[in-house]
Amino acid sequence: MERRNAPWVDGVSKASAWLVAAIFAAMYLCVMLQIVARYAIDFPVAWTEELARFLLTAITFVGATILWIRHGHIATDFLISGMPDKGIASVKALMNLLAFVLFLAMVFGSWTMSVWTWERSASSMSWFRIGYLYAMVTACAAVMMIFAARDVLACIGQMRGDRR
Amino acid sequence: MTLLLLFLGVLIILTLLGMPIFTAIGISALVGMLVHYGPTEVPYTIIAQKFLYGVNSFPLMAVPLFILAGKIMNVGTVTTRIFDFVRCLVGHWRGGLAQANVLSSVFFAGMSGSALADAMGMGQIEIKAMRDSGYDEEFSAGITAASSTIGPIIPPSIPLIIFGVMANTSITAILIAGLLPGLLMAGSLIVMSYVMARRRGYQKSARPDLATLILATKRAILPLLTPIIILSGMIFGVVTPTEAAAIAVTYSLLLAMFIYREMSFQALTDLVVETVFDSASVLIIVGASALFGWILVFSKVPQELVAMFSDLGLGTVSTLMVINLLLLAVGLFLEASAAIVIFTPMLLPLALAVGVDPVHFGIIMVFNLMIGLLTPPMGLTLFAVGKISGLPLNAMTRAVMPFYPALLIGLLIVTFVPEVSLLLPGLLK
Repeated sequence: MERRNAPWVDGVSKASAWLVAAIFAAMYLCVMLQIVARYAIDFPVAWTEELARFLLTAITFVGATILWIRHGHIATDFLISGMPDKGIASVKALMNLLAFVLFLAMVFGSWTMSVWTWERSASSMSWFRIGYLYAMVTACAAVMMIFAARDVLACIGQMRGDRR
Repeated sequence: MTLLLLFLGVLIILTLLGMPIFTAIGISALVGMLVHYGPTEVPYTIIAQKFLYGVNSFPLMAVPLFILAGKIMNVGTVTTRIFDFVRCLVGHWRGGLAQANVLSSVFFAGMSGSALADAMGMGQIEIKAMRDSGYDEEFSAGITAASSTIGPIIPPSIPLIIFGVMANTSITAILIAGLLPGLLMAGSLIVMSYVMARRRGYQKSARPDLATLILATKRAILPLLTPIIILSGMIFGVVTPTEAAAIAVTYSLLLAMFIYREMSFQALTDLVVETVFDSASVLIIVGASALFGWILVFSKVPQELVAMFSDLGLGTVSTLMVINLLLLAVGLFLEASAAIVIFTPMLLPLALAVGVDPVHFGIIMVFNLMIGLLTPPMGLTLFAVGKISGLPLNAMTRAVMPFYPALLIGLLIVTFVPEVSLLLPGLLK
């Protein structure tokens, strides 16, 4: 029902998929380093757990953003799948509009948090500011917000097309 | 309580209208906040904080790592090796391939915590073998779908890890607790499939000779060590569940890339990308549910629910029956991990109030939701096995129906005999 993505959007989302795969690999290595440092060299490293947690949040938010662009999130569509095309377009327009409002609230909230925590360091990594995490959430929510708006317009276009 | 009803009402409507579950939870929470605070006073920063810190958790990291380990094990011949080994053990019994189907799922469950991974990986081999041996199409698909739900009960288990994080309980204890209920589930399915095999007149086949058995064992021994490696590390306190998951990834990589040489680097990167998306789709729901959990706490809903149930004078048995019926109904419509993150904060205080151990409650909850995987309209395992077997949804539903009684009996035993879940974690203390 939603418009197909433009080739550049698919290209960017593919590149982002590789980026999250690299982040995943870094997270896995952090956990392995934690085990090796504790048992093999008897020198526990403090930052591995915190960095791995931050990388998990990055995987979650960047992955969720790509899934949003690809319409790949977990959803239940058995009720609307039987509707006529125009009905599906109307429902999806409304759903995307509501999602737009949620992402707008997330952008506003995470941007504020990012400003507030920009100078606050992570407990085991003085170079890492907590504000970076909120900035990432802001960026991801902003991208999802833009694509929700795009899908609203696409659904409205679909409804108009049906009317004609 | 009004706030909870408003939240659940909006959530149900949005979910049924096809909105992705994480945004449906987020919007429902936002509506609750707008009603509670008014539009100008809504603390928008809380939305960002809860979403972010809901997933900023070390135990949750086990979810993507176990998903990847399961996916790697599904590539190449690991599943075939396990099935061939189990077939040598029990394939000569009456309806032996159905028993082998269940036992293969038990072994695979020790490597992967997902029912879908079992259905898509082992399922293809199991259904083909049963078809080739003359088993009825629906019986083969039915037992494959039913046995794949053992995966998330026997450790490692993705839903149990998510429950452990939501309930703030020991992940090791809850994973170990799943072992006996998983074996009970397998036992009840084996009995049911034996009864069905007798009724349908399936004959016994020839017992394999010792050389064949030894060869099959040799071929399967390394994959079969995976559950032992995962469990022993956690049981002896050497590693945390997340570290055990990373070790499982390392071991499965060693097998697939260096020992069996069945997976290329390109295939690995594809699996990692797939894993990231599978994990992100679940973890973002966990993030959204942290917002919901916060609303529940500030609106004192759990306390009100506990008070309401105690006013009704329901004892432990009645409360657990009500919870079971509710969760079976929820499983019809909601994906398991989404159901866990939404209903744990509401139902766990009720269970605790009537003296149920949180670990025991986690097993009950996941067992219920696994039955939901086999029921339309949201039966993900039904869809997956239907796709493999080529059976339409109505035929798949008919195929799994004979196995519902076996699973429901298992559920009742797990619900009302807490020792089945608590015996092994108790031994660890």
